[in-house]
Amino acid sequence: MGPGYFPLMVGCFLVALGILIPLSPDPDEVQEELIEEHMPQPTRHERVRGMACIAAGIALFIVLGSYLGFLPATFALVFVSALGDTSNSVKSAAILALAMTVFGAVVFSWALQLQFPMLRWG
Amino acid sequence: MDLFDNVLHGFSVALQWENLLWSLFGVFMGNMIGVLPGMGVLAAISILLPLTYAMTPVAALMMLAGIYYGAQYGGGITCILLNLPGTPSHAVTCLDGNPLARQGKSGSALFMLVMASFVGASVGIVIMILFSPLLVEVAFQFGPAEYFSMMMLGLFAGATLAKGSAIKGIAMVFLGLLLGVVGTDVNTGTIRYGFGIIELSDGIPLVALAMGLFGLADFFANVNRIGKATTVGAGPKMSVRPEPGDIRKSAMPVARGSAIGAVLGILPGTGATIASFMSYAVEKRVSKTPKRFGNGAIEGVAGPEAANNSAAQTSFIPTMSLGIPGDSVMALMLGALIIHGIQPGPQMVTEHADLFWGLIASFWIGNIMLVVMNLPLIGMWARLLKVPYKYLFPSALFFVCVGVYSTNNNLFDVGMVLVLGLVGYLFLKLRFSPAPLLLGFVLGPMVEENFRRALLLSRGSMSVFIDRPISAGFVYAILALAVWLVFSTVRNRKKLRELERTQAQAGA
Repeated sequence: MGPGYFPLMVGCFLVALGILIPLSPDPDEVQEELIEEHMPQPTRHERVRGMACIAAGIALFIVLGSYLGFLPATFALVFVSALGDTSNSVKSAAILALAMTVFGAVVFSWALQLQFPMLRWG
Repeated sequence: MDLFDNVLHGFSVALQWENLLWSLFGVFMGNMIGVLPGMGVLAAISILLPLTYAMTPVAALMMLAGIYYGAQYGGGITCILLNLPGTPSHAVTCLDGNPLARQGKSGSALFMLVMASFVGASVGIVIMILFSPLLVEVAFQFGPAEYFSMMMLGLFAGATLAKGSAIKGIAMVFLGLLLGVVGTDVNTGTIRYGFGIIELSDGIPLVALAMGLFGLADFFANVNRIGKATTVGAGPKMSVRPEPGDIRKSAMPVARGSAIGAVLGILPGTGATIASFMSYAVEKRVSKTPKRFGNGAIEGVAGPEAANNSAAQTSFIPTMSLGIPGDSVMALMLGALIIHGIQPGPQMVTEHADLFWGLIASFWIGNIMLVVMNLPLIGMWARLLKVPYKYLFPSALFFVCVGVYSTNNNLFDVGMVLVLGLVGYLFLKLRFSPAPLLLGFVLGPMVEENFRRALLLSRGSMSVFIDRPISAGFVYAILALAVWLVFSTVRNRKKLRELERTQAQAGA
């Protein structure tokens, strides 16, 4: 019974379940899909833009956080992800980002003493 | 009286200033999050989890629990005013709550909502006080084999009885078990599934997993969707006043709802959501005028609300006394306990009596605070409903990133959230519910440890799981669930074929 024993068993069960899933359709799911088709759905463009902006925001947070510090990272994260919502303008996104940056600086670095340099270089 | 002393001791812990304040903060946040559209309890708890690292375990648990049951109050408010369930367990409340509001009786409906919630929660707490010590006595008889079988039963039940396809649920449980394996093996020191990445040798952090699957995945799904169609015309003045006769009419539904909720809360897998649906069905059945249901029957608000609050409290019983969470919120609570270095299980009740009884007392205090808070604040909650999603999600995203970073002070975890969020979105699209995965993930290490320990004691013979009578009982229950699963799959296929046929006929 080495360290691989349990994962191996779990893996075998997973394979078996994977085979079973396509064989057992759920009628509720089919009905849910029918209902969802009637709900207002974002267009393909809107959906892609939303997801891409959120993902890019987080990626920027990681990159800027490790090279430039907390403040630029926060601003970039909120600004870029806010642009993902098509009803946000560049101006409203910038205001929101600025507000969150100030809030973050006060609450996390000053009040909670987060171990994250505010500004750094390289 | 032993029990009485314990409860009193609990109140003395819960009424300490620090604990009281955190508890208040928790119920307030929970209430607010329940009201905010597009924010789930799970996302809220995982976002606030890093905040608890600096607290005492007692205060941490009180706050996290407060978010959970606070959200039960808040979710109902959006149902009545907006016809929009804040949390899934309130979907039924919409059926009658919103028609009542449209008839101008929102004050009465909100009053009954708050009162029914309070009564339901109180019943749940009393059951918890009486029942937990009994369960602990039984649990002390358990060995590793029993624990393993019981956890597997809990996981199976959690996956099959919850919403959606049962087989997909079980698959998610196993995936969760597998993700729980990542990291250094306690017995041999081997790093499993680390792929040479140093950060993975500690395993996947619970916070990153929960935030990715429940926070980020939801943002991905809801961006550009929420806030487009919902324009709200909340009344100018919100007053909370019962109509004469409503209280009398609601008394029995509240009593029945509390009982239903208490039972379903204890059972694994069934929780607040199923309890509220069942209570609604029962009320409709026993009513002399079932036609009123759906058009603004106060019983249809009172019963389900009592049921889901009662279930929200009793679902703590298995989590606290056995260490087996019944749903994903409880799994997160358990995770929080482990982060604070407390091993959940029957020993917890005796070794950490402060925590256990303090938590129970804080439930009661928290519920009273919620009633006091909700009566004057309804107007404020109604205004909060208008916070647009376009401002909400970027701000929440910031809390997600900072929260995850602060767990280990590294940015690798933030990247992990991004990946898990994308995976979680895929799960949503393919209709795999992430809740069983979280359940499996949290229980995973414990399942494996008990499994290996049981096999070690039996010298590798699998029969240990059916030789011991209690364990055998659990194994048979799992088998019964499996048989039921096969049966319902066959029935589902038949139903599906019929559905297709009727659609083909309608199309022709």
